[in-house]
Amino acid sequence: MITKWRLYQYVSPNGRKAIADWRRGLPVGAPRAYLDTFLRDMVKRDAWDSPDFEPLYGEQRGLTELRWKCGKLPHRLIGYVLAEHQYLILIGCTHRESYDPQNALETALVRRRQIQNNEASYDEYQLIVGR
Amino acid sequence: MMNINSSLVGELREKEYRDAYVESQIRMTLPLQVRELRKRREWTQPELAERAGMGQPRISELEKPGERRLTIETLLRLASAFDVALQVRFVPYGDLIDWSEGVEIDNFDVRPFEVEIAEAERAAVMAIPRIPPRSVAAGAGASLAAGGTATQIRSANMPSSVIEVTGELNGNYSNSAFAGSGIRRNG
Repeated sequence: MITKWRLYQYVSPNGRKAIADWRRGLPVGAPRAYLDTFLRDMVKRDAWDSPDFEPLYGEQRGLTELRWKCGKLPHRLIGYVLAEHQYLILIGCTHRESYDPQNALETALVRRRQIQNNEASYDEYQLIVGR
Repeated sequence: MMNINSSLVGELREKEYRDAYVESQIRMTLPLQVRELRKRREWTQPELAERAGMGQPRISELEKPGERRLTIETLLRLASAFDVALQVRFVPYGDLIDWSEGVEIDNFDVRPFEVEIAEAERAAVMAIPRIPPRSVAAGAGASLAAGGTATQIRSANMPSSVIEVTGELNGNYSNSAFAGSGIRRNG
């Protein structure tokens, strides 16, 4: 698969991988398959734009969201562009009327700060691919 | 052939994931293609909505991954609006994986029928068999005007059945250059 973007995920000081862990917590059927397909599609696109990719404002300025829906439930990955065609995902969540987990935005800010202060790290997120 | 060691095939061993994978190819990936087709044509959402006989809010929803259930009826209306074909068929998982992972989303555009047929006609002209240079070159005496089109070509000494070309060939052509180009169709 030819990809244009590389995805990275937050790794906590005790080695927990934010997105791999979040994915494992999703139900086995549609939620996981939709996430996998969405990410495979996104990394193949040169330019990310609305409505799949939206900036956050205010306190979360500089953070962005990747957005898709599964069933009627909006799903989000919050992160930021690390370098050209490199995206670091800090947290995965859903967002019906509010975020689930509720403190997703605050957690994303904390994680970004940890990475910037070298208190946490990140590694490449391995896409679920068939070839 | 499926790569049985791939992470995706590992997931597909679960029936629930397998079904959702197929569903996601339609509900997640098709909206991207709808958006790409519209943008390549430089249409706004209201323009596409009008051509497809739908409301703009519906087009907006159709372009969001996972937002809306796509019916065959909706897809047929979109195919007609874009003037492209629509293929719905049952396939092995390996075929779907190959397609899904091989397709370049930035080149997701599909040519409308009018463009496709024009390209096929041009290709048919270019595929006309070559003639050995010796059989044409000797004293053909054709004179071609700069910037002329191939349909305007007439050779003084050749039977008209030898040079009869449709389609445009812009540029400078001398008799010998033309003879060497292999453009010929027997009448």
